[in-house]
Amino acid sequence: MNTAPAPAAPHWVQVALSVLGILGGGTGLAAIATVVVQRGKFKADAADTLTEAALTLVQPLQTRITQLEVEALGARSELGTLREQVNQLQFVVRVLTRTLDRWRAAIRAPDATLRKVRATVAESDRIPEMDR
Amino acid sequence: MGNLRIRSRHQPYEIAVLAAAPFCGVLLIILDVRPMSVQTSMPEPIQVAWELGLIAVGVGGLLGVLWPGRLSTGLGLELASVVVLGTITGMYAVALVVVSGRSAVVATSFVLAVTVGSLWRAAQITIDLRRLARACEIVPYEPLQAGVT
Repeated sequence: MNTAPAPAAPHWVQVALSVLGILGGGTGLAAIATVVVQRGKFKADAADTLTEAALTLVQPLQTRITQLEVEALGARSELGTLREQVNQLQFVVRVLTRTLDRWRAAIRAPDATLRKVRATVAESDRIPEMDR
Repeated sequence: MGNLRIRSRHQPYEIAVLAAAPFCGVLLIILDVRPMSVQTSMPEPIQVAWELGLIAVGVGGLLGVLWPGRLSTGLGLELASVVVLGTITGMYAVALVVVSGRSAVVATSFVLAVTVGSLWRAAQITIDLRRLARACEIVPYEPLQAGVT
């Protein structure tokens, strides 16, 4: 020290400050030690999951994810049902189109008679495809 | 646990004070001086510890604030630094009062403000750490990761 030795303060101040310093330093070390020892309690990694208010979001998000999973499952099964129905309808449309073509051909035939047309219609009634 | 919230670690005043502490400490060592009040009112070993404490507190505190790993480790480092910073500034305030008395009203007030702020922050961190521990008990971490896939 390049300053002249100053007159010492009262003895009790020195003692009090020493005690204060030791207490404070000890508390600081104890704080670090506690957190290090209890690391197991804090399982989460900081930066990505637990910054700021992110912790607030975790629980609701979990609930929401569960809800969405249930909804997605429902939607998927509904989609299956609808796809099945569409397939059936496509089949029906194909059959009906074919029947219509056949009838039109029968009606437009140059030698078309009422009896022939009736026979064609009666024949398509018997086509088993139509029995769904 | 609806409104659990960990307070931000990036507080301008705190960071400024934490940055100033090691600056002071290093300057004291380089210039080989110590405040008169510290010299007169502390025994020699405590003076040395006080000086080194300034550096340790600043470095540790900033490290804790910027800690990239576990949040709890960062908070723990910050807690320790802030407690020791409160102690160091408290000691300095007492020394100022004893040595300079009334003429050091402004300096003592500001130094004491740092003490109060530091202990206040320490209390906040303690509460946050307790909340964090409770939250980690409630929320299982592994299912959380699995749930995102």
